[in-house]
Amino acid sequence: MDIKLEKALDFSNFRQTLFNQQQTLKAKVINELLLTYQDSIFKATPELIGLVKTIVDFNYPTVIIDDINENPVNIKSPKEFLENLIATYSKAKNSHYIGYAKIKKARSVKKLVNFE
Amino acid sequence: MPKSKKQDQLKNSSTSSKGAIFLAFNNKEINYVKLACLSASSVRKHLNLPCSLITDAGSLRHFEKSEHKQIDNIFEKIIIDEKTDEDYKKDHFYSKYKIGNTDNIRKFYDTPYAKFKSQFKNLTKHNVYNLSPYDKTILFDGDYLVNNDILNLAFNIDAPVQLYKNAQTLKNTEPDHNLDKRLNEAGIPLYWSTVIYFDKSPMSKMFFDMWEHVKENYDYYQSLYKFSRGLYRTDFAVSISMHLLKGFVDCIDDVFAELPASPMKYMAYKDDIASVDKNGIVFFANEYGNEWNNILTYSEGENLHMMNKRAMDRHYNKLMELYV
Repeated sequence: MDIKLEKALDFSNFRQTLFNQQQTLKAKVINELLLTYQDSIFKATPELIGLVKTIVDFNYPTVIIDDINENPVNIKSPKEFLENLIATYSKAKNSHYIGYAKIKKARSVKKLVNFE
Repeated sequence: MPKSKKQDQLKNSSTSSKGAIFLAFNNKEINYVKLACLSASSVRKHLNLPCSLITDAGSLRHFEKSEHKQIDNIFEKIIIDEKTDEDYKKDHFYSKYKIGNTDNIRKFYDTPYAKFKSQFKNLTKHNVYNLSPYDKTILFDGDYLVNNDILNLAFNIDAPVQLYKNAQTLKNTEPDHNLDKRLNEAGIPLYWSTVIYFDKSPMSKMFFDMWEHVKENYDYYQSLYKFSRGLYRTDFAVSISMHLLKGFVDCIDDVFAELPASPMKYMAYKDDIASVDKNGIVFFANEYGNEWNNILTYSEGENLHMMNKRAMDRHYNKLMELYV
């Protein structure tokens, strides 16, 4: 096979694997953003953190928040809920950052998939 | 860990027993007890749950004879299903799904290049509600590997039955086969019976009773929901049960909910394992329609439904090292 074509195909394989590993990492991080609180399940998104922080700043004693299934939940301690959200968000995003740095550094399919 | 998250978990763990349960009935081709040992080891490592096994005397004997080891250190309880092959043959339902001289035959692939047929002993899966020794149980198929602790969240959610609705391939795409998405081209969505969380509430009992009812009237539901005849698939039975219990509407429900971290990721029958390192698994993800083409994918920290059981068997010892 023509060397130029072979190189191009290698690069194409690399891009395909790179894209797939990025998607895998994103899916993993989305799962890590989940947390349970008061028998309900939430996703620690920046929007939810922002909303709960505003509620806390305004000193509201409770707040109604939808869980991921869109069921309303009466959050009895917004401050504590906020702490949980931030802890979960930080942990998930830290894992995202580490995973992304590893993928970014890889320059071959073998490196991308840890195949030695 | 923040205080309340910890308190939530403590509250649940102190008031009820939690555990994982595995059903494993060997056939001539697949040693399901061996696979269940691997799956249970992954559950013990990542979810820290006690595990119990439901099997038959023959499967247990075969495992101990072929593997030369006991499994008491993996399973705290081994529940023997007393029904023999002869009993199954008397079951009017079972005889209806006879193909040739064998019952409920399923075609399995091991990569695109090898295939085999074997018996699928799944008719009593709904009995798990009665057999589980735990108040809150996660039922796992023996070919499911747990690689993170996300499923522990299921115990903290106020939903008595939870299972996966959607699935995703190793290439992070929707399933290639329509039957892994819907019961027919325009049918109801597929729920997977691979992993099911349930408690001992009346709502859970209703779900398993409905499952049994669908099994007993499978011919009727086959014509009503218009899926292909032949194999009794528990995924279809639970999908129909969900549809009936949700009032014939596919809706988000807080009683029959999706498991956390849906969709379920799976290794398809035609995918293969390239290698297993100390943290994860390198796969050959096969391209549907272009079977000569594979891409390498790496999976670390993701839960996986491993459909290619022979590939699991080939790399069994290395996979087991992930969970020691």
